[in-house]
Amino acid sequence: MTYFNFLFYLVFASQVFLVSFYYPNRILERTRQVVAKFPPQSHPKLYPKPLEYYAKAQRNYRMINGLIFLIGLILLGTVISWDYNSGVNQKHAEAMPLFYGIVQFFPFILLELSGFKQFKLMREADKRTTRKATLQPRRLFDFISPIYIWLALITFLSYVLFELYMPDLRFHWDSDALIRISSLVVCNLLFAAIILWNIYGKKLDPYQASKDRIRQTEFTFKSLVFTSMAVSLFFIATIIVDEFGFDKIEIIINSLYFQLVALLGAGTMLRNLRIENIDFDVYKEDAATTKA
Amino acid sequence: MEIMIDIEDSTPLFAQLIEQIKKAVLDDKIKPGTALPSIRQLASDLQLNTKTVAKAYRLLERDSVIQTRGYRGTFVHPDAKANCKVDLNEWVTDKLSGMISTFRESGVTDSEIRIAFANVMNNRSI
Repeated sequence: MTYFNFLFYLVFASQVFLVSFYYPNRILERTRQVVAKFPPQSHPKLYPKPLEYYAKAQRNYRMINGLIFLIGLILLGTVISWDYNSGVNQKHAEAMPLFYGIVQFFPFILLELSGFKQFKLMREADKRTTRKATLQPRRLFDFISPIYIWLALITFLSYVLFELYMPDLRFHWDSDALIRISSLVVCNLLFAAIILWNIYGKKLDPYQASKDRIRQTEFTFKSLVFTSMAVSLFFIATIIVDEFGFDKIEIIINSLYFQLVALLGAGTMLRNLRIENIDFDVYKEDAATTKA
Repeated sequence: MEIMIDIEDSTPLFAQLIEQIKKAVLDDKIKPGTALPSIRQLASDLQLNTKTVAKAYRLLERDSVIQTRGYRGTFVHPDAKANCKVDLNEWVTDKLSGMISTFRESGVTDSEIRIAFANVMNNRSI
């Protein structure tokens, strides 16, 4: 077993643990805390469905993540047994963190979708005739410094230059480059659409307090801009390792990339949107009968 | 600073919006020069048609309570507080009452005044 192999096993084990065990358990713990501190009896607006419905959703989420965690451990065991530098299996091993990472993010996508469904149910159950709005404008630079936007843009342009001019500083253009650049453009356009939707779109949680919405919007913007930078840097790193023959560390970069995305997404959310900082009084039965 | 509208209130929604913004200005809850949300943002937050909010903003701008500075957005007018106190409805009613009194004193009947008023209002060239 070489030093690189050992390092990869360590990094991949960290990917399995972080994305499919640590963060899912932190999210479940957070949900348990919300139910314990703000039960349906005192905060009925938070629960448009019976509590059993949410308990079942939590069980499913735990089960899916448990299964993916188990698959991760099996993959790790398999790769160790292959000793991934030994020839024919190396290519499979290199792609593994990427494909496994995509599978690992599936429960996070499900979680987001169930969040949308929950807010839709809350809006349907909301029968108030009065509506409230803040007179504070929501503008991009109120939530994030222009420096970060510029940095994201510079990182993206750097990637495009890397893609077109590396390794010999001469212009190269092929279909692979087109696909990679297009995919990054689509990814950034998606982020921009989410940002615009946060500024102009409908409020998902009908009861959410204004200051909580501002905090959440700020977190979302920062998270998306940093993820955009991370994706560009990942693509640059991939080009560097391909062009300069650092093939061995590509597998490690792939794995670290998914951990970074998890850190920027779930990690930042858990750190910034703490339960104690959220106004749960708006979900009480006797809370102001005004649509916020 | 938050505003509130009631969709079941008999007062038109744009009028509620105008009243709420004027109240916020008079109560010093929003100061002159403060940026206001865009029409689209306010319409989205209040779940109203953008035309409703645009109408309220247009009337507030006419009354110099707010001002639009091109692409920079909409702001509270520097003289907003004084301008909020101007009641155009009251001013129009006063003017019309004075004119109607003059017509009556000249012997014009109420039906003749109504017909003339309708003709003037319907005549777009005036």
